[in-house]
Amino acid sequence: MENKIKKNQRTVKKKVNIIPLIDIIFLLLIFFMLATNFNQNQNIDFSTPEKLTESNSDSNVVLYLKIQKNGYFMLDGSTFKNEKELKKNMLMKWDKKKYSSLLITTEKDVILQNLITTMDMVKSIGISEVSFSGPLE
Amino acid sequence: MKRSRKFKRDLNLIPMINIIFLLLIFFMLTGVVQKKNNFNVERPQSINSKIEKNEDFKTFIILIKSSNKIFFEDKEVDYEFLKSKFENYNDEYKIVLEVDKNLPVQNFTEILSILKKNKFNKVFVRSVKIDDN
Repeated sequence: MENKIKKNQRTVKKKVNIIPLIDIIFLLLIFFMLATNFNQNQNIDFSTPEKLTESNSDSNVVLYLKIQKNGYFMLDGSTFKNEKELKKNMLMKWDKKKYSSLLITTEKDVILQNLITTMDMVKSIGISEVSFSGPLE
Repeated sequence: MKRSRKFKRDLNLIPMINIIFLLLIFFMLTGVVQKKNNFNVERPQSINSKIEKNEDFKTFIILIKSSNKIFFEDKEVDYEFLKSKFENYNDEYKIVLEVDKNLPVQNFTEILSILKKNKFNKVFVRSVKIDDN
């Protein structure tokens, strides 16, 4: 009898129980799978150009574009109902020799997305001299 | 004979552990642990979004909700706090704005003007890339 117990104990000691190890590794694996993020952050650059004041002191004319709260745009005094119309007219109007830059202003309470969409459009038609100011009161 | 039967009864776990370890190491090394965004900020969409570069600049993240609540380092702050906070920093820092797309532009320009006054030149807005139609 005693001999049998001794034999049993010896067999238990011989084998390391790896189940808890697997449990912990699984837990860690699940944690990292759920918590990690492979998406890279994307940014829009709003950095100030080094020579910002120089273009402002230029004697050339600034072309004004105003984004209105109702979604309309006002370009140099004339109103456009949507972005498509604005784009068409902007292409005709924009002249590098005549204007030093395009200044985008907004009415109060225009949301940021509208400003960014308009800036995207302006950049897509090749105008790089863009500045913007907040609502003019 | 007896031995071989015993071997068969045991499932060999070592290859499984190897694979799990490999997966674990893969996820640990390649992923970035996501910081949970409790603020429900909807990023603006833009075709000009660019993937953020990992530069050496130290970064400040300012979060602005559409209700114009401003959070800095997980605490709600106001314009005055930002003005005084950034007074002593110079342009070695980069500012990342996590702004809601429904934020009124005047609030956004207010933040920008504070940053410009304190000579922060590198200002970025977190955004979502959309395709050009």
